[in-house]
Amino acid sequence: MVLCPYVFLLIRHDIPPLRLQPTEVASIHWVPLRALLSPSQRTYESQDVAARMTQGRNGVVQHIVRVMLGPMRFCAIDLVPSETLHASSVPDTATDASRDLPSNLRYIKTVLSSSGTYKIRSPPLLLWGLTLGVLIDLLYLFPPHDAFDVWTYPTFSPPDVRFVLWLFSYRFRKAKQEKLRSGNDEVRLVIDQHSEGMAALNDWSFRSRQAGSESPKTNLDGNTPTPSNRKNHLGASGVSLMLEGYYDVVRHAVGATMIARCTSIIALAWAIFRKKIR
Amino acid sequence: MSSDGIVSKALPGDLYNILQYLYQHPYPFVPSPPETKKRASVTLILRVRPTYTDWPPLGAYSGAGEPDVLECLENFFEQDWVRAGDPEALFIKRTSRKGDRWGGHVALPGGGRDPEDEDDQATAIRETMEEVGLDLRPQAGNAIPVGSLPQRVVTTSWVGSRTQTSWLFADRFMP
Repeated sequence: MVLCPYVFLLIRHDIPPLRLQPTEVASIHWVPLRALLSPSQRTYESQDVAARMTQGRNGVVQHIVRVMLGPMRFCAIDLVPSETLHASSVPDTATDASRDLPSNLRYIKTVLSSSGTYKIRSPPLLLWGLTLGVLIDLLYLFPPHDAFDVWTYPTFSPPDVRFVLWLFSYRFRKAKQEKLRSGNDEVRLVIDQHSEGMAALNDWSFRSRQAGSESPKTNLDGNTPTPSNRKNHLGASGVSLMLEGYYDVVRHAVGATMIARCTSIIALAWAIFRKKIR
Repeated sequence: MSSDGIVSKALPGDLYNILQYLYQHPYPFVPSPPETKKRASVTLILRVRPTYTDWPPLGAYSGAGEPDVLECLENFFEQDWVRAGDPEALFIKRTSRKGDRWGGHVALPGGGRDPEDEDDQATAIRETMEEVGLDLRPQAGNAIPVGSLPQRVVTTSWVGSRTQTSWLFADRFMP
Protein backbone atom coordinates (compact mmCIF):
# COMPACT_ATOMS: atom_id res chain seq x y z
CA MET A 1 0.00 0.00 0.00
CA VAL A 2 1.18 3.52 -0.74
CA LEU A 3 0.47 6.20 1.84
CA CYS A 4 0.15 9.78 0.56
CA PRO A 5 0.10 12.62 3.10
CA TYR A 6 -1.23 16.02 2.02
CA VAL A 7 -0.72 19.28 3.85
CA PHE A 8 -3.47 21.89 4.16
CA LEU A 9 -3.50 25.27 5.86
CA LEU A 10 -6.67 26.68 7.38
CA ILE A 11 -6.90 30.28 6.32
CA ARG A 12 -9.82 31.20 8.50
CA HIS A 13 -9.59 31.24 12.27
CA ASP A 14 -13.35 30.74 12.52
CA ILE A 15 -14.12 27.55 10.63
CA PRO A 16 -17.52 25.92 11.20
CA PRO A 17 -17.72 23.38 14.06
CA LEU A 18 -16.32 19.98 13.15
CA ARG A 19 -18.64 17.06 12.77
CA LEU A 20 -16.94 13.89 13.96
CA GLN A 21 -17.91 10.47 12.65
CA PRO A 22 -18.31 8.43 15.86
CA THR A 23 -17.63 5.03 14.27
CA GLU A 24 -14.23 6.20 13.07
CA VAL A 25 -13.14 9.10 15.22
CA ALA A 26 -13.36 9.22 18.99
CA SER A 27 -11.83 12.65 19.36
CA ILE A 28 -9.80 15.28 17.59
CA HIS A 29 -6.96 17.31 19.06
CA TRP A 30 -5.26 20.48 17.97
CA VAL A 31 -1.63 20.31 19.10
CA PRO A 32 0.80 23.25 18.92
CA LEU A 33 3.78 22.67 16.67
CA ARG A 34 6.06 24.02 19.37
CA ALA A 35 4.97 21.11 21.58
CA LEU A 36 5.83 18.68 18.77
CA LEU A 37 9.21 20.29 18.34
CA SER A 38 9.93 20.28 22.05
CA PRO A 39 12.29 17.60 23.37
CA SER A 40 10.45 17.37 26.68
CA GLN A 41 7.51 15.58 25.09
CA ARG A 42 9.51 12.64 23.79
CA THR A 43 8.66 9.24 25.20
CA TYR A 44 8.00 5.72 23.95
CA GLU A 45 5.11 3.40 23.18
CA SER A 46 5.03 -0.36 23.62
CA GLN A 47 3.36 -2.68 21.18
CA ASP A 48 3.06 -6.43 21.20
CA VAL A 49 4.64 -7.73 18.02
CA ALA A 50 4.67 -11.47 18.66
CA ALA A 51 1.98 -12.15 16.07
CA ARG A 52 3.84 -10.10 13.51
CA MET A 53 7.13 -11.85 14.16
CA THR A 54 5.73 -15.32 13.94
CA GLN A 55 3.65 -14.25 10.97
CA GLY A 56 0.48 -15.35 12.65
CA ARG A 57 1.55 -18.97 12.81
CA ASN A 58 1.04 -21.25 15.72
CA GLY A 59 -0.43 -19.78 18.89
CA VAL A 60 2.05 -21.56 21.18
CA VAL A 61 5.12 -20.22 19.38
CA GLN A 62 3.57 -16.79 19.41
CA HIS A 63 2.99 -17.02 23.11
CA ILE A 64 6.54 -18.13 23.77
CA VAL A 65 7.91 -15.27 21.70
CA ARG A 66 5.67 -12.85 23.53
CA VAL A 67 6.87 -14.04 26.92
CA MET A 68 10.53 -14.11 25.96
CA LEU A 69 10.68 -10.79 24.15
CA GLY A 70 8.02 -8.64 25.65
CA PRO A 71 6.56 -5.80 23.64
CA MET A 72 8.52 -3.77 21.13
CA ARG A 73 9.24 -0.19 22.11
CA PHE A 74 8.82 2.61 19.61
CA CYS A 75 9.69 6.25 20.05
CA ALA A 76 6.69 8.49 20.55
CA ILE A 77 5.68 12.05 21.29
CA ASP A 78 3.30 12.75 24.16
CA LEU A 79 0.75 15.15 22.71
CA VAL A 80 -0.46 18.07 24.77
CA PRO A 81 -3.42 19.50 22.89
CA SER A 82 -4.59 23.07 23.14
CA GLU A 83 -8.08 22.06 22.03
CA THR A 84 -9.91 18.73 22.11
CA LEU A 85 -13.30 17.73 20.77
CA HIS A 86 -14.96 14.41 21.50
CA ALA A 87 -17.38 12.67 19.17
CA SER A 88 -20.88 12.15 20.44
CA SER A 89 -22.18 8.78 21.58
CA VAL A 90 -18.89 6.93 21.77
CA PRO A 91 -18.27 4.95 24.99
CA ASP A 92 -14.63 5.92 25.47
CA THR A 93 -15.34 9.66 25.44
CA ALA A 94 -15.67 9.57 29.22
CA THR A 95 -12.54 11.15 30.60
CA ASP A 96 -13.24 10.24 34.16
CA ALA A 97 -12.73 6.50 34.25
CA SER A 98 -12.81 6.60 38.02
CA ARG A 99 -16.56 7.06 38.00
CA ASP A 100 -16.66 3.31 37.83
CA LEU A 101 -14.77 3.02 41.07
CA PRO A 102 -16.74 2.60 44.27
CA SER A 103 -16.93 5.81 46.23
CA ASN A 104 -14.60 4.74 49.06
CA LEU A 105 -11.79 3.95 46.62
CA ARG A 106 -12.32 7.28 44.94
CA TYR A 107 -12.00 8.94 48.31
CA ILE A 108 -8.71 7.19 49.01
CA LYS A 109 -7.45 8.27 45.60
CA THR A 110 -8.38 11.85 46.39
CA VAL A 111 -6.62 11.78 49.74
CA LEU A 112 -3.48 10.27 48.26
CA SER A 113 -3.22 12.66 45.34
CA SER A 114 -0.67 15.34 46.05
CA SER A 115 -2.69 18.51 45.86
CA GLY A 116 -5.68 17.06 47.60
CA THR A 117 -7.98 17.77 44.69
CA TYR A 118 -9.03 14.99 42.41
CA LYS A 119 -7.15 15.06 39.13
CA ILE A 120 -8.83 13.68 36.09
CA ARG A 121 -6.19 12.27 33.82
CA SER A 122 -7.16 10.66 30.58
CA PRO A 123 -4.72 8.19 29.03
CA PRO A 124 -1.81 9.92 27.28
CA LEU A 125 -2.10 10.74 23.61
CA LEU A 126 0.94 9.14 22.05
CA LEU A 127 2.01 9.96 18.54
CA TRP A 128 4.10 7.11 17.19
CA GLY A 129 4.58 4.80 14.21
CA LEU A 130 3.50 5.75 10.73
CA THR A 131 1.82 8.98 11.85
CA LEU A 132 4.96 10.06 13.70
CA GLY A 133 6.93 9.29 10.55
CA VAL A 134 4.69 11.65 8.57
CA LEU A 135 5.03 14.38 11.20
CA ILE A 136 8.81 14.07 11.32
CA ASP A 137 8.91 14.69 7.59
CA LEU A 138 7.35 18.06 8.31
CA LEU A 139 9.10 18.82 11.60
CA TYR A 140 12.60 18.39 10.25
CA LEU A 141 11.95 21.24 7.82
CA PHE A 142 11.86 23.59 10.80
CA PRO A 143 15.17 25.07 11.89
CA PRO A 144 17.39 23.75 13.41
CA HIS A 145 16.42 20.72 11.29
CA ASP A 146 17.13 18.25 14.08
CA ALA A 147 13.85 16.36 14.26
CA PHE A 148 15.60 13.18 13.20
CA ASP A 149 17.98 13.31 16.14
CA VAL A 150 15.18 12.41 18.45
CA TRP A 151 13.90 9.50 16.44
CA THR A 152 15.12 6.24 17.88
CA TYR A 153 14.99 2.81 16.37
CA PRO A 154 12.40 0.39 17.73
CA THR A 155 13.80 -2.05 20.28
CA PHE A 156 12.73 -4.42 23.03
CA SER A 157 12.80 -4.19 26.82
CA PRO A 158 14.86 -7.23 27.92
CA PRO A 159 18.45 -5.99 28.30
CA ASP A 160 20.08 -8.90 26.49
CA VAL A 161 17.90 -8.49 23.39
CA ARG A 162 18.45 -4.76 23.44
CA PHE A 163 22.20 -5.15 23.67
CA VAL A 164 22.42 -7.70 20.89
CA LEU A 165 20.15 -5.61 18.70
CA TRP A 166 22.21 -2.52 19.40
CA LEU A 167 25.34 -4.42 18.49
CA PHE A 168 23.97 -5.99 15.33
CA SER A 169 22.46 -2.74 14.11
CA TYR A 170 25.44 -0.49 14.89
CA ARG A 171 26.92 -0.28 11.42
CA PHE A 172 23.49 -0.21 9.85
CA ARG A 173 22.45 2.78 11.95
CA LYS A 174 25.65 4.68 11.34
CA ALA A 175 25.29 4.24 7.59
CA LYS A 176 21.73 5.49 7.70
CA GLN A 177 22.72 8.45 9.81
CA GLU A 178 25.31 9.44 7.24
CA LYS A 179 22.83 9.14 4.43
CA LEU A 180 20.35 11.22 6.35
CA ARG A 181 22.90 13.82 7.26
CA SER A 182 23.88 14.43 3.66
CA GLY A 183 20.25 14.73 2.69
CA ASN A 184 19.64 16.98 5.66
CA ASP A 185 22.46 19.31 4.72
CA GLU A 186 20.88 19.79 1.36
CA VAL A 187 17.55 20.56 2.98
CA ARG A 188 19.15 23.04 5.32
CA LEU A 189 20.78 24.71 2.35
CA VAL A 190 17.66 24.88 0.25
CA ILE A 191 15.37 26.03 3.01
CA ASP A 192 17.79 28.56 4.39
CA GLN A 193 18.46 29.91 0.93
CA HIS A 194 14.74 30.09 0.45
CA SER A 195 14.35 32.16 3.58
CA GLU A 196 17.21 34.47 2.68
CA GLY A 197 15.55 35.15 -0.61
CA MET A 198 12.62 36.45 1.32
CA ALA A 199 13.95 39.34 3.37
CA ALA A 200 10.46 39.81 4.69
CA LEU A 201 10.67 36.78 6.92
CA ASN A 202 13.58 38.14 8.89
CA ASP A 203 12.22 41.56 9.64
CA TRP A 204 8.52 41.01 9.15
CA SER A 205 8.24 43.85 6.68
CA PHE A 206 6.76 42.32 3.61
CA ARG A 207 6.57 45.61 1.84
CA SER A 208 10.21 46.48 2.27
CA ARG A 209 11.57 43.81 -0.04
CA GLN A 210 14.67 44.98 -1.81
CA ALA A 211 14.16 45.49 -5.50
CA GLY A 212 15.70 42.58 -7.30
CA SER A 213 15.76 40.15 -4.41
CA GLU A 214 13.96 37.01 -5.35
CA SER A 215 10.42 36.61 -4.24
CA PRO A 216 9.15 33.07 -3.97
CA LYS A 217 6.96 33.52 -7.01
CA THR A 218 9.85 34.31 -9.29
CA ASN A 219 11.58 31.11 -8.30
CA LEU A 220 9.01 29.12 -10.17
CA ASP A 221 9.82 28.21 -13.73
CA GLY A 222 6.22 27.69 -14.66
CA ASN A 223 2.89 28.51 -13.15
CA THR A 224 2.43 25.29 -11.29
CA PRO A 225 5.14 23.38 -9.50
CA THR A 226 6.01 20.09 -11.12
CA PRO A 227 8.17 17.27 -9.80
CA SER A 228 10.92 18.23 -12.22
CA ASN A 229 11.37 21.54 -10.39
CA ARG A 230 12.34 19.66 -7.38
CA LYS A 231 15.83 19.61 -6.02
CA ASN A 232 15.58 16.23 -4.45
CA HIS A 233 16.80 16.36 -0.92
CA LEU A 234 15.79 13.19 0.79
CA GLY A 235 13.25 12.49 -1.89
CA ALA A 236 11.42 10.10 0.32
CA SER A 237 10.17 9.87 3.85
CA GLY A 238 13.10 10.15 6.24
CA VAL A 239 11.74 7.63 8.69
CA SER A 240 11.08 5.16 5.88
CA LEU A 241 14.69 5.53 4.78
CA MET A 242 15.92 4.93 8.30
CA LEU A 243 13.79 1.85 8.75
CA GLU A 244 14.42 0.24 5.40
CA GLY A 245 16.12 -3.05 6.10
CA TYR A 246 16.00 -2.60 9.87
CA TYR A 247 13.59 -5.42 10.55
CA ASP A 248 15.97 -7.87 8.89
CA VAL A 249 18.52 -6.86 11.49
CA VAL A 250 15.90 -7.22 14.23
CA ARG A 251 15.08 -10.76 13.17
CA HIS A 252 18.74 -11.75 13.21
CA ALA A 253 19.37 -10.13 16.55
CA VAL A 254 16.33 -11.72 18.13
CA GLY A 255 17.26 -15.10 16.68
CA ALA A 256 20.82 -14.81 18.02
CA THR A 257 19.59 -13.77 21.46
CA MET A 258 17.16 -16.66 21.67
CA ILE A 259 19.90 -19.10 20.72
CA ALA A 260 22.23 -17.55 23.28
CA ARG A 261 19.57 -17.80 25.96
CA CYS A 262 18.76 -21.41 25.17
CA THR A 263 22.44 -22.29 25.15
CA SER A 264 23.00 -20.63 28.51
CA ILE A 265 20.02 -22.38 30.04
CA ILE A 266 21.16 -25.74 28.74
CA ALA A 267 24.71 -25.11 29.92
CA LEU A 268 23.46 -24.07 33.34
CA ALA A 269 21.17 -27.08 33.60
CA TRP A 270 24.02 -29.34 32.57
CA ALA A 271 26.34 -27.81 35.14
CA ILE A 272 23.76 -28.24 37.90
CA PHE A 273 23.03 -31.78 36.79
CA ARG A 274 26.69 -32.69 36.85
CA LYS A 275 27.12 -31.17 40.26
CA LYS A 276 24.16 -33.13 41.56
CA ILE A 277 25.36 -36.47 40.34
CA ARG A 278 28.76 -35.99 41.93
CA MET B 1 13.29 26.84 19.71
CA SER B 2 10.94 28.21 22.32
CA SER B 3 10.29 26.45 25.59
CA ASP B 4 6.91 24.95 26.29
CA GLY B 5 4.07 27.27 27.11
CA ILE B 6 5.62 30.26 25.43
CA VAL B 7 4.49 31.16 21.95
CA SER B 8 7.52 31.23 19.71
CA LYS B 9 7.79 34.41 17.72
CA ALA B 10 9.82 32.71 15.03
CA LEU B 11 7.46 29.84 14.40
CA PRO B 12 4.86 31.49 12.10
CA GLY B 13 7.72 32.84 10.00
CA ASP B 14 9.36 29.45 9.78
CA LEU B 15 6.01 27.92 8.90
CA TYR B 16 5.47 30.44 6.07
CA ASN B 17 8.87 29.55 4.72
CA ILE B 18 8.22 25.86 4.90
CA LEU B 19 4.78 25.97 3.32
CA GLN B 20 6.09 27.97 0.40
CA TYR B 21 8.89 25.48 0.08
CA LEU B 22 6.49 22.51 0.14
CA TYR B 23 4.28 24.13 -2.46
CA GLN B 24 7.14 24.83 -4.80
CA HIS B 25 8.88 21.51 -4.34
CA PRO B 26 6.32 18.73 -4.59
CA TYR B 27 7.48 15.22 -3.80
CA PRO B 28 7.41 12.69 -6.59
CA PHE B 29 4.47 10.40 -7.14
CA VAL B 30 5.25 6.92 -5.84
CA PRO B 31 3.63 4.29 -8.05
CA SER B 32 1.96 1.31 -6.43
CA PRO B 33 4.24 -1.71 -6.15
CA PRO B 34 3.22 -4.78 -8.14
CA GLU B 35 2.12 -6.73 -5.08
CA THR B 36 -0.59 -4.29 -4.08
CA LYS B 37 -2.53 -1.56 -5.83
CA LYS B 38 -3.97 -0.14 -2.61
CA ARG B 39 -3.43 3.54 -1.95
CA ALA B 40 -4.41 5.66 1.02
CA SER B 41 -4.16 9.33 1.85
CA VAL B 42 -3.99 11.31 5.06
CA THR B 43 -4.27 15.03 5.69
CA LEU B 44 -1.98 17.06 7.88
CA ILE B 45 -4.13 20.09 8.64
CA LEU B 46 -2.34 23.11 10.03
CA ARG B 47 -3.85 26.23 11.49
CA VAL B 48 -2.65 29.29 13.37
CA ARG B 49 -4.26 29.87 16.70
CA PRO B 50 -4.65 33.54 17.66
CA THR B 51 -3.30 34.65 21.02
CA TYR B 52 -5.28 36.67 23.49
CA THR B 53 -3.52 39.95 22.79
CA ASP B 54 -3.58 39.65 19.00
CA TRP B 55 -7.05 38.62 18.03
CA PRO B 56 -8.16 38.60 14.37
CA PRO B 57 -10.22 41.67 13.52
CA LEU B 58 -13.67 41.40 12.01
CA GLY B 59 -13.36 40.97 8.31
CA ALA B 60 -9.93 39.39 8.56
CA TYR B 61 -8.51 37.96 5.34
CA SER B 62 -10.44 34.90 4.37
CA GLY B 63 -8.80 33.94 1.13
CA ALA B 64 -12.15 33.79 -0.59
CA GLY B 65 -11.86 33.68 -4.33
CA GLU B 66 -8.07 33.67 -4.34
CA PRO B 67 -6.92 31.01 -6.78
CA ASP B 68 -3.18 31.46 -6.39
CA VAL B 69 -1.83 29.52 -3.42
CA LEU B 70 1.31 31.60 -3.05
CA GLU B 71 -0.68 34.83 -3.14
CA CYS B 72 -2.99 33.37 -0.53
CA LEU B 73 -0.09 32.34 1.69
CA GLU B 74 1.44 35.79 1.45
CA ASN B 75 -1.83 37.51 2.34
CA PHE B 76 -2.44 35.11 5.16
CA PHE B 77 0.98 35.42 6.79
CA GLU B 78 0.99 39.18 6.40
CA GLN B 79 -1.70 39.53 9.04
CA ASP B 80 -0.65 40.64 12.51
CA TRP B 81 -2.69 38.00 14.28
CA VAL B 82 -0.99 35.28 12.27
CA ARG B 83 2.47 36.64 12.94
CA ALA B 84 1.72 36.58 16.65
CA GLY B 85 -0.18 33.30 16.55
CA ASP B 86 0.58 29.73 17.51
CA PRO B 87 0.73 27.17 14.67
CA GLU B 88 -1.04 23.89 15.38
CA ALA B 89 -1.73 20.55 13.71
CA LEU B 90 -4.87 18.42 13.82
CA PHE B 91 -4.76 14.84 15.10
CA ILE B 92 -7.54 12.33 15.53
CA LYS B 93 -7.88 9.54 18.01
CA ARG B 94 -9.47 6.51 16.41
CA THR B 95 -12.51 4.93 17.99
CA SER B 96 -11.72 1.83 20.05
CA ARG B 97 -13.56 -1.14 18.69
CA LYS B 98 -13.32 -4.80 19.60
CA GLY B 99 -10.96 -6.51 17.24
CA ASP B 100 -9.71 -3.28 15.74
CA ARG B 101 -6.01 -3.28 16.40
CA TRP B 102 -5.64 0.42 15.69
CA GLY B 103 -8.52 1.62 17.76
CA GLY B 104 -7.54 4.23 20.28
CA HIS B 105 -4.44 5.26 18.37
CA VAL B 106 -3.47 8.75 17.39
CA ALA B 107 -3.64 9.27 13.66
CA LEU B 108 -4.28 11.79 10.93
CA PRO B 109 -7.64 12.02 9.15
CA GLY B 110 -7.62 9.85 6.07
CA GLY B 111 -8.33 6.51 4.58
CA GLY B 112 -8.18 4.23 1.60
CA ARG B 113 -8.64 5.42 -1.95
CA ASP B 114 -11.94 4.62 -3.65
CA PRO B 115 -12.20 3.96 -7.38
CA GLU B 116 -14.20 7.14 -7.89
CA ASP B 117 -11.50 9.38 -6.39
CA GLU B 118 -9.87 11.48 -9.07
CA ASP B 119 -6.45 11.32 -7.42
CA ASP B 120 -4.80 10.79 -4.06
CA GLN B 121 -5.47 14.38 -3.01
CA ALA B 122 -9.18 13.92 -3.72
CA THR B 123 -9.08 10.86 -1.43
CA ALA B 124 -7.57 12.98 1.31
CA ILE B 125 -10.28 15.63 0.95
CA ARG B 126 -13.12 13.14 0.84
CA GLU B 127 -11.94 11.17 3.86
CA THR B 128 -11.40 14.31 5.91
CA MET B 129 -14.93 15.46 5.11
CA GLU B 130 -16.35 12.09 6.10
CA GLU B 131 -14.38 11.69 9.31
CA VAL B 132 -14.23 15.17 10.79
CA GLY B 133 -16.67 17.21 8.74
CA LEU B 134 -14.06 19.68 7.53
CA ASP B 135 -14.41 20.73 3.88
CA LEU B 136 -10.94 21.12 2.43
CA ARG B 137 -12.00 21.79 -1.13
CA PRO B 138 -10.67 25.14 -2.37
CA GLN B 139 -14.17 26.39 -3.14
CA ALA B 140 -15.25 25.92 0.47
CA GLY B 141 -12.86 28.66 1.54
CA ASN B 142 -11.66 26.97 4.72
CA ALA B 143 -8.23 25.81 3.71
CA ILE B 144 -5.68 25.85 0.93
CA PRO B 145 -3.68 22.86 -0.28
CA VAL B 146 -0.05 23.75 0.28
CA GLY B 147 1.51 20.53 -0.90
CA SER B 148 2.34 17.06 0.21
CA LEU B 149 4.86 15.09 2.20
CA PRO B 150 6.75 12.11 0.83
CA GLN B 151 4.61 9.22 -0.26
CA ARG B 152 5.74 5.91 1.15
CA VAL B 153 5.17 2.25 0.57
CA VAL B 154 3.99 0.45 3.67
CA THR B 155 3.79 -3.23 4.18
CA THR B 156 2.54 -5.53 6.88
CA SER B 157 5.19 -8.14 6.28
CA TRP B 158 8.48 -8.43 8.11
CA VAL B 159 9.91 -10.77 5.58
CA GLY B 160 10.78 -10.69 1.94
CA SER B 161 9.90 -7.17 0.94
CA ARG B 162 12.71 -4.67 0.57
CA THR B 163 10.43 -1.99 1.87
CA GLN B 164 9.75 -3.24 5.35
CA THR B 165 9.35 0.27 6.48
CA SER B 166 6.11 0.84 8.26
CA TRP B 167 5.00 -2.73 8.32
CA LEU B 168 3.27 -2.49 11.61
CA PHE B 169 1.03 0.35 10.77
CA ALA B 170 -0.67 -0.41 7.53
CA ASP B 171 -3.44 -2.53 8.95
CA ARG B 172 -5.88 0.17 9.70
CA PHE B 173 -6.12 1.02 6.05
CA MET B 174 -6.86 -2.54 5.12
CA PRO B 175 -10.52 -3.56 5.02
